[in-house]
Amino acid sequence: MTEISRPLSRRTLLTALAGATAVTLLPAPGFAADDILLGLVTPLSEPGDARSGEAIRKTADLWVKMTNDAGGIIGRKVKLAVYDDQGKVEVGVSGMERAITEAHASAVLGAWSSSVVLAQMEVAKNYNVPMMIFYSWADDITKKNYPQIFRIGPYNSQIATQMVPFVKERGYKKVVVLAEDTAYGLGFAKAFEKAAKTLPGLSLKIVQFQAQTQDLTPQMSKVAASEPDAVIVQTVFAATNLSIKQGREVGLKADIITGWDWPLLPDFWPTVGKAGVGVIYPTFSDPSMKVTSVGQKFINAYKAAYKTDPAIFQYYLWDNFNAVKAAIEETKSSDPAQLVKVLPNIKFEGTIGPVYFRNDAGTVNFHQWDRFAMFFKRLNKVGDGEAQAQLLYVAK
Amino acid sequence: MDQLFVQSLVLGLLQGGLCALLAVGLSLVFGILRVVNFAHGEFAMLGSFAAVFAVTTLGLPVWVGLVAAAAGGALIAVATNLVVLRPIYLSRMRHKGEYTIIATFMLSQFLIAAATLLFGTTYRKLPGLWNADLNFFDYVHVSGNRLVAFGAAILLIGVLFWVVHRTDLGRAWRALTQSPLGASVVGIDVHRYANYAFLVAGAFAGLAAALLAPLIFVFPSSGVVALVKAFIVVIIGGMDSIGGALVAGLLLGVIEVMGTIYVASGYTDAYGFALMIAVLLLRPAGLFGKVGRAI
Repeated sequence: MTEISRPLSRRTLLTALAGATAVTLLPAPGFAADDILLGLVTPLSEPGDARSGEAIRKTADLWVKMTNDAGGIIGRKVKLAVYDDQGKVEVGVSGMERAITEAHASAVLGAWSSSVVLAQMEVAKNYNVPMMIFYSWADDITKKNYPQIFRIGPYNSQIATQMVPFVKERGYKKVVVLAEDTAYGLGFAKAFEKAAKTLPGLSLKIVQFQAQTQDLTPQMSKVAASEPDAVIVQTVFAATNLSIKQGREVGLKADIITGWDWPLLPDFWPTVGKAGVGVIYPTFSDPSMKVTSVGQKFINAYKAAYKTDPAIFQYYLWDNFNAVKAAIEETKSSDPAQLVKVLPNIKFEGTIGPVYFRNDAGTVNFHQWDRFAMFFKRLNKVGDGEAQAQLLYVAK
Repeated sequence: MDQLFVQSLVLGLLQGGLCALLAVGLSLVFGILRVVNFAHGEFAMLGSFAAVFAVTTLGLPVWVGLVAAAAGGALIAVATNLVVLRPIYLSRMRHKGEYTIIATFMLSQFLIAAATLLFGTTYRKLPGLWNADLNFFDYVHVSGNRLVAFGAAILLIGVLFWVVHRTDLGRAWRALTQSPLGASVVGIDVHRYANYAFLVAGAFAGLAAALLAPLIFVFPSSGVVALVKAFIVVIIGGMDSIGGALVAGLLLGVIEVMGTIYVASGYTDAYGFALMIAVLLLRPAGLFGKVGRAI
């Protein structure tokens, strides 16, 4: 284009670019000196698992509100410093640094993707700040035995071990693990491969895929061609639904075992349709599960605030926050170093029972709570939810 | 012949047709205006949301949803040209190409953020025109919607090819690719035909995304992967060749599916990048690209 009719000055262009940049940036948080600051570093935008991040944010906001309404902790108000990790390692590490150095967080919570957590842990270790984990499953998170890392939630090798009896009970002889290429997906695949060695005669194949993929048809064609009895899908929401829908599209007849609470999300049936019938999903939640008074209070408050039930991982996050609260109350301090010292021996009433950490040095059970059961359920018709799902097996 | 091989070939070709449809708009705009449009994926994403809105919210038939997708994509594309790009390429600035890249990249980020705010992070699905899982020879499995999408993609690319080579609009576009100044001297309204190019590019992007929507899902960042595939296609096919985009799209689809099934399942995107690098090394202008300018 050579016609020149309306020149655009560089200043105008730069102003426009600066303005656009400014509106995309969050305002810097301001906090009173007396506030207790807790960092929340979680995926709030794509390519991270923003759907889960939204639930995490809601849980955290509710906990802070209820805690402050009840007078705060040791008479001080609690505030959140929120950072979006976008599901990216480098952004998660940056968020962790900012939570600790800018907001002076007493502890950091809300981490989600195992791959991100494994990098963030190094930051927590360097600054000696407690980092609370709830639904990031890589064994290495607690297996590294960092004094600052605590997990109230499940982990890969225990889940894999609990899954083996179910595979045996169902009589599967040929199993494919379809795993996303993350610490979460491949971590589980390797853990299951190891645990499944106790099953003689089981043929096991691992098919990995890129976590951000939007089309699993090639992978599902490969899986279908191997004619397995069951496919265990280890990924998060979008790829879970894709694998079910596209697996049936390419003629996959095997049982699909897919976790963990994704089939209970409201967009499961609208996106999967009748391909979801027969899907088996393992979960840590069941209507028969005993909930404590703390848990019931959380459920009631969550329902009142957001008009929906919390998922099980939100229970664990609630317990994460209460662990930090218990540590602050015990030390009468929000100093991260003090909290790191007392957290290993903290005991309190959690949402589904007493919470305390195992401290078996040299193992994955270091700063690890592991009192959870696993329920295997099947969705028998379109629209089935947790209440309608058929309970097939309980692993404890 | 190996049954899985046949299935892979069919899947690859079907997938490649849609990649080509996504890419031709990018190729068209680059050929005419030399604008590398990083917001092209978001034209597709917004088009698919328009289709979802028309079909699931307003209860309109699926074909109306496809029209809405084309209209939505076209609208945002023309608006992008008028509001974001035209002030840059009419300015006296040097390095306009770089500025258009920066501007469209920022626009892409803005549109993703805006879509997240407006529509939330919920995944959505669009019903298709042929919601059936088909089985040929007992070992080739494809969905009816995939066949519809492929057929529509080939038809639309054929129509565009005809328009470019057999109509006055196409002659004007081709004149612009040769010399914008020369074209304006002989009476071609540069801005009008630039708008037409964006309109067609946006409509094709929106339509491609809406045709894909019954097969995958609709969400705010769904255009990012689409853009990457489209760029690979135009680089392999030649930055300004519609026919090249079709061949490159089919080639990309087959290479990605075959690589995933026969080499390793975890590197689907890598096969496309490897092919692109090989083409850049051996034939930098692309398989069908010309040293001069053409579409």
